[in-house]
Amino acid sequence: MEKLDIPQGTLDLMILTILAREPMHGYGISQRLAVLSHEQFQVNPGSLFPSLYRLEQDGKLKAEWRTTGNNRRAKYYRLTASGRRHLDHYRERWNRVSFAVASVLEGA
Amino acid sequence: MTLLHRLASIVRWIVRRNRAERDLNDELETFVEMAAADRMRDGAPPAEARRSAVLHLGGVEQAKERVRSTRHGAWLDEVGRDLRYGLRTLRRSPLFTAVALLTLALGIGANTAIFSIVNAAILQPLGYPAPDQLMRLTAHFPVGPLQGFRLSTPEYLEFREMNRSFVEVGAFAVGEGVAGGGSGGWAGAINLTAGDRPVRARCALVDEHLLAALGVQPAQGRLFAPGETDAMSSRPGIGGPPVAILSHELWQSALGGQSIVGQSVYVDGRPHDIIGVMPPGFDVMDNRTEIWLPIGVHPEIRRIRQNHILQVVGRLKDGVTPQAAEVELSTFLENWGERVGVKGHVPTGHPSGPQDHTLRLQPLQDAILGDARRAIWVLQAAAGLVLLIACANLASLVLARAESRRREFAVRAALGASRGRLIQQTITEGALLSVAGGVIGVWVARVGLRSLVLAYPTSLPRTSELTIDLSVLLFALLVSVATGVFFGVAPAAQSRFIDLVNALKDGNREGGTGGRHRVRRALVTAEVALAVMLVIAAGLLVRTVYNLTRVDAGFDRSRMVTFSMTLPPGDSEAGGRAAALQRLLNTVRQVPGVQAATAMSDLPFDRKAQRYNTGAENYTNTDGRPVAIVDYYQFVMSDYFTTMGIPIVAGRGFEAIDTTSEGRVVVINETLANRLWNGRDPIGQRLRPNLGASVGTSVNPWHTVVGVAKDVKQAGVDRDAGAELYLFVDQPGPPIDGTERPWVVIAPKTMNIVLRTSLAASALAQTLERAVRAIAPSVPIVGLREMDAVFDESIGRPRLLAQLLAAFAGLALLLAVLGTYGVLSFMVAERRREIGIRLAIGATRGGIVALVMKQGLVIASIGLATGVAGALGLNRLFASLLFGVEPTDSSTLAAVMCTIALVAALACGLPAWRASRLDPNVVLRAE
Repeated sequence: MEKLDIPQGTLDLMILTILAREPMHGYGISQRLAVLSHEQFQVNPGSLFPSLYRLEQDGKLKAEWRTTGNNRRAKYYRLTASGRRHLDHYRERWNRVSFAVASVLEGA
Repeated sequence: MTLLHRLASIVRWIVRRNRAERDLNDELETFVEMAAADRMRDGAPPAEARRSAVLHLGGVEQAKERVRSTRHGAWLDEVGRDLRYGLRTLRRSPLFTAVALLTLALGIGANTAIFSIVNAAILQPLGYPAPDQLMRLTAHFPVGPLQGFRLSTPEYLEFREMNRSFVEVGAFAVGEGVAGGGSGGWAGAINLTAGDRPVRARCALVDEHLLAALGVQPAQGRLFAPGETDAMSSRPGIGGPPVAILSHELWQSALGGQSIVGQSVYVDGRPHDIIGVMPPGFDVMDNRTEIWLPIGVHPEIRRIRQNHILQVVGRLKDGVTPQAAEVELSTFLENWGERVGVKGHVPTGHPSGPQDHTLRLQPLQDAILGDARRAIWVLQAAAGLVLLIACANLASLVLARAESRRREFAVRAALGASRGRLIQQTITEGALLSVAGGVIGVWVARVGLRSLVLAYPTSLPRTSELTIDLSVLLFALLVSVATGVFFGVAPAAQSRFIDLVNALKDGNREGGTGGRHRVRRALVTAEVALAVMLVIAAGLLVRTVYNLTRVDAGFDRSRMVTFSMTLPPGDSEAGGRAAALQRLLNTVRQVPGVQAATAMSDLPFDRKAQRYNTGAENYTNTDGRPVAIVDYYQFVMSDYFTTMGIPIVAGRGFEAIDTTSEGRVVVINETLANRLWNGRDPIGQRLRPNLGASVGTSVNPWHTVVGVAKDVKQAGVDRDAGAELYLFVDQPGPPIDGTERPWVVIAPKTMNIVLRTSLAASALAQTLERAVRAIAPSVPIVGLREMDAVFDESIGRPRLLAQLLAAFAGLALLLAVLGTYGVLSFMVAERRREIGIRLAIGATRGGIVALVMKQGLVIASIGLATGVAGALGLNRLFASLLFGVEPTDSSTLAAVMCTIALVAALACGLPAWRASRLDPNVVLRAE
């Protein structure tokens, strides 16, 4: 089945949500995203990494190099306090947006 | 996110860029490895797993590029990389870089230099406090060329009394034509002796009101005290008590900047107390004043309305507009005579006769600029055109390069560069070139300006203020960056240049030539048109200068050497001076190589009219009095007319017998003869020259006309000759009436010695200095030069304009030729295959030449036609700068068109010839 495009502006929200559960590296995030979206979304690293870097720069994420279970070194991202606040705010907005869109679609 | 945070992030990124790059690299590598590991777990062989993982990543380099561009400060990094890349590219094509830099340096240099002139003369306000409050008041005579003339002392005093618009109105006198000097004509310069060496210093005689109006504060000491400038020196005429203020510059150069206030120096041999030093750069009316003296107008002269000796400057009261002051002045002009209770020679609003004059106000800055403003703007426009041509040329050059760089751009696009990044790259390259060109350009401007001021010290106003200051540098920077963007964007405007697939596929083969060349052809056509306009303008100005040099000035100025000297008032005053000058002339006449020698009070070409009222027999002017206006008095010594080569058209010149004869004699010029006794025989008529006003004698005896000399163009070869009266210094004459009167001796203080010789001035310098020292040990020789140099200086501004415009036009023409040549060569190179085929199937070599030539000549002729049309439209804007040639002069146009056609033919000929020499075998096999 054809994969869906990730809607504009929602990638950050999904990354933050995934990282809210536990710190994770880039590949892990892309895999988790695929699983959680029931393989509907597949994020291209060319989009994922710019998002991660931007969020890190803005202080929403903090990155550190850690050793993985398979004894590989990887860069793990975790949510900062500011990132968590951002996520709450962001999710609340998203809920309103999707509710609004759904209402319009059903009402039409 | 705070600004601070962002800045910190930028700084971090810059500082830790290497680590960050390594991080990014490792992270992406980890990603690939993890993805590959997953695929291997699903059973893919290792190599295949890795390949598919990289594919999934969508290109490692693209991903990196996208990450980099999200970072704060990424643009800084990009600019840095673009700069490095640009530098590498430019280094790889040294010829292109050199041509571009040279073009830019000349274009920007010319503009910067001319802009500094615009800046210094026009844009910068005058260096006084609140300079826009300063106005100049001048007299205008309806008859004759006397615009912006001086005021008489009574009307100056009356205006100062009457007006309510000005806080302060002051007067000064500079330069020649100032009448009634203490004991002889006064030439605007004095001999200053402080210590052993005399120097000549330009001086201004001022009253205290002038200095107050200008708002100057002395750098040291004090200004003239109230009443001090009204006080008289002991002698008649003008010249106050023996005190002086030095300019900062003279204080530095002649007195070494040592403490001077309170000390005494010799001014024309008389001790003067230095009371102060002016601040640096302080001047009045661009006079380059070095010493300031009190004017001290004699009470008798204060009453003479005919003596126009004062320049007047006033400062408006706060809140009074120049217009309001003009309105006030015009009400005064309605009934000036009644207001002040006098008749005759008062200013009037409706001047009609030759004696009448009106007064006008003008902002001081306009008065200083005069008609130089137009000349300066013409230069700036010309320089701007040169820069436009340079831009067009570079744009065309860059376009040509973009064609050959299509592959490079395509490869970079394939490696992840966005279209915006590529355009940014070409703009960066353009900016790199133009800023480098600008830096060289500023240097070019500096050197150019310095030599310009050396060659033409007085041809432009306010040259002393000429510097490359901050605003000039900003201008240069702005011009450079604009230029860079202009020709950096040009290739990007041609969207095809990053047409990826085609560029990689067909390499450099032709295809769609028409569209791509249209832009370049249009650019080159515009270049030709602009160059044509410049060449026509330059042609007209060169014609102007040629016409000026061909005007018969009334005497033979070749093989002449002249210098001037100011004799101090000796014990015997004028008589002593005349005798000293005679001794000097006798010595000089013995010098080998000197054929003849004489002396005169005023050199021609740059004289200001004096307008002396002169009594005349058998003549009445329009107001019924037997008084004529004579524009110039010339005091001359023996052998004058023969040495100068001025033909005597009636009667005789001065002769030895006149030095001892009883009756005083004069020679007049043709204009004066016609003005006074039109048609009647002037010989034997009598005149009563105003010696009191001109050289300060106490009597004005009658003189008999003995000869009429051909007119000499005193005020410049482009002006009317004016009426001139020659007086004979060697004629002391007997006592006028009775023995209690002194002899009338009329030797002005400053005289110009004139030699007829084939030697150069420099060859005579030592001999002449020795001769002068023998008669007056402390008198410096001033302005020793050939008469041709005097003439050249008098037409300095047209020469300057012609030379600069010719240089600009030459540069423009060269650029246009290079542009035409370039576009044609490129076209030939691209059409090699087509030309080869044509030749192979039987086209003649001549046919190929014609084919290419046609392309080029179409460009040239469209450019030529546009340029001529533009020139015809614009040239009238500088018609006032031309002499003896119409702005639409057909012979100049024809000459320019022939030149351009010839040059264009040459520029097209070479590529055409090369095209025709192509060997079809070689060309077609290479494909």
